[in-house]
Amino acid sequence: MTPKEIIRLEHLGLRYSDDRFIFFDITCSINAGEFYFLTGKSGAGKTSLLKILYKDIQPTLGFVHVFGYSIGELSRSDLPVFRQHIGLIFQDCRLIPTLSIVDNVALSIHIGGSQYRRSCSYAKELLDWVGLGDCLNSLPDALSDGQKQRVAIARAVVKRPALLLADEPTGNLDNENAFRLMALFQELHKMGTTVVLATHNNELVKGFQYPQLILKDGSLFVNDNGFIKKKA
Amino acid sequence: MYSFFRRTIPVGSVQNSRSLSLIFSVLIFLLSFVATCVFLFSQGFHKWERGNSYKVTVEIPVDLQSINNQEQITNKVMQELNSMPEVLKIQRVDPEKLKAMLTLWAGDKGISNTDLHVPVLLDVEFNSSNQIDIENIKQKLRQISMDINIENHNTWAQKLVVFGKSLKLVTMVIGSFILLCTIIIVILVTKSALQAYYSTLDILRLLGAKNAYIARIFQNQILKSSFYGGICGVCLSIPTVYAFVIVLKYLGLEGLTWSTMLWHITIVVIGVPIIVAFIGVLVSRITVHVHLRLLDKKTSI
Repeated sequence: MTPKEIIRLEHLGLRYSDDRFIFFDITCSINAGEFYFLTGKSGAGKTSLLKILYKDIQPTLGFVHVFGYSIGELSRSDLPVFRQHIGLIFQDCRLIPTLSIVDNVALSIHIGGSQYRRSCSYAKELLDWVGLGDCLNSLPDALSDGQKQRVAIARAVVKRPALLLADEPTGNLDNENAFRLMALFQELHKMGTTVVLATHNNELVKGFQYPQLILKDGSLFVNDNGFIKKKA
Repeated sequence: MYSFFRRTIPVGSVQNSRSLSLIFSVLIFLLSFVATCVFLFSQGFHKWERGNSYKVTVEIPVDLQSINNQEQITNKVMQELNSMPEVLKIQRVDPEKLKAMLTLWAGDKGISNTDLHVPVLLDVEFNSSNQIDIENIKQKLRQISMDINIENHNTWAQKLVVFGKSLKLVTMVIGSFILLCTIIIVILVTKSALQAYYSTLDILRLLGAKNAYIARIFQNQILKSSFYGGICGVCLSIPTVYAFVIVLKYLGLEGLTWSTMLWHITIVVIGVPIIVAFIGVLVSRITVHVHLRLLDKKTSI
């Protein structure tokens, strides 16, 4: 793994209880500061691949290195610290329903050891930036899908992660709102964060000049400016 | 800050744990009461045991030949007893008191008869630090008169002390049972909250929360519930416990001074909620850690 590499997958394979492999023998690397779309049909394994990267599930075969650490060898006690360096955005937002949106965002850095007041101060600043400054104390249930997704993004980026993994963050949004959210990811990318964004929204992928990782027939391909090759 | 923790996983709002503070107050009240009982029984019976263990009554029987002879024997016995280093105090039982005790059998007329002679009784108290050999004392005294008898209070007092200790043991078992109930309730409430807020727990872990951070959420809320419960429990237990003490005092539980009792009872009443809170916090912490470890094993991380 070179110093620039932030993710390295070696001969990665995943199989659930049935015998069929979701993907097999994937070897690729992603450098720090890169932005990738991760695409593929439903069931191609986009979410599973992301889950492997933040160690929510274990791969059946192969090795995964993130930030230079082999995540298969990460102990239970090291896992929380590892996850604190990754920003996660889920398709269903996964906000804590009992907390106000400012607390939902503040929680992300409070977990890392930041004081509550300071966490809230950062959270307010970021929620202002994503256009939710006027509903800081609202509960997630009172927000629209687009607003919830912006809170989820704020929560993921407030701790300034080195790596952002977004699983269909625009899945429930219309194109207009999806493009608005993409502007946030672009800003974050400009600040040096590595972004892997899983999506099945082709218009979104076409609208931005970022390379595309494609999961197809259990293999991973890269589409860089229309040139598709197996990613390595 | 605290409300931030409370709202993340509101342990107390789980269906079966809404009255957590109320449950704590009842348990703390019961435990305070039981602890007071244990303390009072222990103090009372200990003093009783100690008080009687070192006391004997020397009986100098009636000498029908000469009343003067009985007096002489009494004086000799007292001299002999005074010469013993282990003897602390000798007190002759008032003959009028003895006569009053005999009224039941002899009747008023019999007692008023001046010819009625009663035995001389000497209450002898020994120094508790010395080993007392009653048989040896008896032999020495019987050299003065063969009819002298020694009533060892320890024989019957021991049975009473055994009864007292059994009572104390039963109270301690009840106390332990109440404590066990507290532990079970904390475990069930914590487990219910862990199940009910499973998705929140999952989010926290994905955000990088350590097990200790999650355990702290539960600990803080159990501490808060036990704090409020403790205040209610103490408010309930103080009047009850003091009423109980007054009743025991009225019933003649001797050897306990008010200041000692009040001081100890205050410690018990204040100490019990602190102990319950500590146990509650510890139990919830362990429950969360065990649950999360099992979860890790299940997901094979």
